[in-house]
This record gives sequence, C-alpha cells and structure tokens, in this order.
Amino acid sequence: MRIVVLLFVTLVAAALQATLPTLRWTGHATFPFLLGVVLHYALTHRASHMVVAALWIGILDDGLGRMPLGVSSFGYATCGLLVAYYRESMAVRAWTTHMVLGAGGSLVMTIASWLMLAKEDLVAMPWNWVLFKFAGSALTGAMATPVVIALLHRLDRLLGYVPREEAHAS
Amino acid sequence: MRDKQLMYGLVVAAMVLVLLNLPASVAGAVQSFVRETVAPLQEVVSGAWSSVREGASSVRGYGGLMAENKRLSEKATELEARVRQLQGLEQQNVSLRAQLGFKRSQSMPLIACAIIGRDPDGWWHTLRINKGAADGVATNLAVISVDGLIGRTISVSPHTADVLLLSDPTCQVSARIARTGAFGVLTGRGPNWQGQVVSRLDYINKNVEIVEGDEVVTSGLGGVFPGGLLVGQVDRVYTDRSGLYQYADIVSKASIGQLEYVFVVRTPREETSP
Repeated sequence: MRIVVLLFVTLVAAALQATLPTLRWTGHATFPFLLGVVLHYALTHRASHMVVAALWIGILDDGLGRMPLGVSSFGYATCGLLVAYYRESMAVRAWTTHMVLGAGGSLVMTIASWLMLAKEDLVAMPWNWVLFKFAGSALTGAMATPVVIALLHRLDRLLGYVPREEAHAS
Repeated sequence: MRDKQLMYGLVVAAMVLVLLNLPASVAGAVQSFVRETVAPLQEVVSGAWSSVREGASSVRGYGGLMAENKRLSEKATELEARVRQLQGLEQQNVSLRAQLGFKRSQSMPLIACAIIGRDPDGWWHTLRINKGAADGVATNLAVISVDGLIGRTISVSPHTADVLLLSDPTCQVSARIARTGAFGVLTGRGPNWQGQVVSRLDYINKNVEIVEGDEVVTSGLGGVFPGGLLVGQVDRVYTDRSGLYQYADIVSKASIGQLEYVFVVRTPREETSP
C-alpha cells in the first residue's frame, strides 16, 4: 500500500512540477514539488523509505527532462540523507523548518544543475539571469515545500501511517 | 546510526552508478515509459490551468473585448484582401511551373498538438506535446505556432514528443534575411524578459545591409526545417570583432509562456521533372 501511495504522490507531484507555468520574477524557476516529497520522507519516515522515494523521484525527474538518468536521483538522495541525519536536532513539524529546508534544497540542486550544464556550455543565460534563477529557486522552494509536506502529512494520518515521533510520544 | 547512514549512502551511490551506466536503449525505454505514464496527468493539469487562465483573462479583459473585436475585424479584412491577391499569384505560379515542366509542390501537412508540459528542472528550453509516433510525429520535424517557427521535435514516444525550442543553445537553424537573401546560422540564446524566443544569426555577409525589423526565415538548407518558415525579426545588428562578418539578435514573435497549441510540420517532398 505504501508503494501505491508513493507512486500516486510522486506522479502527481511530477505532473504539477512539469506542467505549471513558471514565473518571470522567479527567474523561471519551477516549483520543486518533488523535492518537497523527498523532504517529507526524510523528516518523518524511515531512511530506507526515503532512499527508495528519492531514487524513484530522481528517475521521474530525469525521465521528464533531459538530464541523464541517475543525476537527479543522486541530488535528491543526498538532500534526503543529510536531512534524515540531522532531523533529531530540527523542529520537524514547524513550517519554518520546511521553508528553510525547501529553500536550501532547491537552491543547492539548482546550483549543482547549473554547474553541470555550464561546464558543457549548455546554459544560454546572462549572469544576472542565472543569479535571478538561483534566488527564484530558493523562493519557490520556500513556498512549495511547506504546502507539500502539510498535504502529505495529512495523507499519512488519513492512511494511518503515523510518523515515528508521534508513535513514540503516544 | 552513522553506520546505517553510511550503508544507505553506499546503496544510493551504487544505484546511481547503475543508472548512469545504463545502455542508451534501456535509458531511452525508461524515459519513454515515464513520459507516457505522466502524460495523462499533465494533460489534466494543463487543461485545468488553461481554464483558470481563461477565466482570469475574461474577467480582466472584458472591458477590452470591444476594442479587440474591432482590431480583429480590421485584420481579417486586410488578410482577406491579401489572400485574394495571393490566389492570383498562385494561379500564375502554377501556370508557369506547368510550362517549365515542374510538378506542383504540396502545401505542408500539419499535425495540431497541445502543449502539456515543460522541462521540470527549468534549465532546458523544451516543451512537451500530446502527440507522438502513433500520430505521425517523428524526430527532427519542424514545430511552428501561428507566429512562426518555434523549434523541432527531439524525442518521441508513442503518444508524446519533446520540442527543442529555438532559444536553446543546442538548436541551430540555417536561416536567411527575407529581404536580402543573406544566409546565416541561427543559434538559441535563451528567452528574453517578455518570454520571447531570442536567438543569434551568425556569419552574415558583412557587405549585406541589415536593418532592425528585417524578417528572418528558414533557408531550407540542412534537411530539417523546410524553407520559408518565419523565425522572427532582427532586433539588433553587430559587426564581429574580427570584422569578417556580422551577426544579429533575432526575436521571435511567439511568446513561449502564452503558447497552448503548436503544429508539427510533416515535410513533404517536392518533385521536379527529370
């Protein structure tokens, strides 16, 4: 059942991320709904579930774009593992935490993508537009991640998947 | 805890290595599967977003509808007059071609497609359309909008295809200035602030006069894009530092952010008499 939920959630997030228009004043950065799903799993689920989610989400992201398969999986899994490692020292339920993680994760992944593409001379953007895009990706990450995590938390509670913190508390 | 993290890190590294080293055919099959699976959801989201945008536009634009109606009526009258003039020229063309023994070239068949998605990472200048191999779409076919050429098809799955936009630096087109016939090579330079496709026409003969506003069309050389498709207009002209040639910034009239429908050109062959 968890696999079915994961598939459903990731397909919807991928469709939204690849279809919703981008905004000029965010440097045309996309809303990172897929990153939000990875962060949700990193904060509230077992690391093994997060790793599976991150690898699958990376395949989805690369399958819908033009990056070689595996590149985004590495990025998502790294973000997820770092967050899972330090989650004991975070306020896991606070929306401010989600905003900061979303902004930071989206910014890091955008910079990493840009470095890879710029090395191959595949980025046709002036410097100011690139910086604008970095800032925009942090902003869209901060906006999208709290919403995604809140929705997924509700879905988890609806399906009876109580996160470990709440189970220990009860 | 640290050992578990290390183990997960190693698992991730191993999986990533496997994915990066997949044979091209397998990677292509995986990508095709992903696109076909997500495409129906993308169509739903795209349709819903279009409805929201149309609703917002109708609320915003109600006051401007009368003026827009008048403008379109005037444009329609002007276009009808031009069509009548062109029909006369076409008859003359057919007659002359028959006298020279040329067979009639067919008009370009078009496949109408809806745009259902864009690149999820926001770096690549691509669009996804809702027609694929099952509908007659193949790779390296020109894609146009009502405002002219916007790109070419790159990867095709059974029911979807990706379009590489002219604004992408890997998209190169052989083009010419319509007024003077001067040839050049068009390379993508990314979108401008208004979301229009911007490209650069390089290697133009330095002795040819080019002015801002000159129309640029495809030359038909290279075998991908048929000749005569409108690409855009000259925005600025420069002379290369070496002084050997000139180059120009070309802006397309098509605004990618506003596009909802495009057409894939199925290029027919033109036959000539032996």
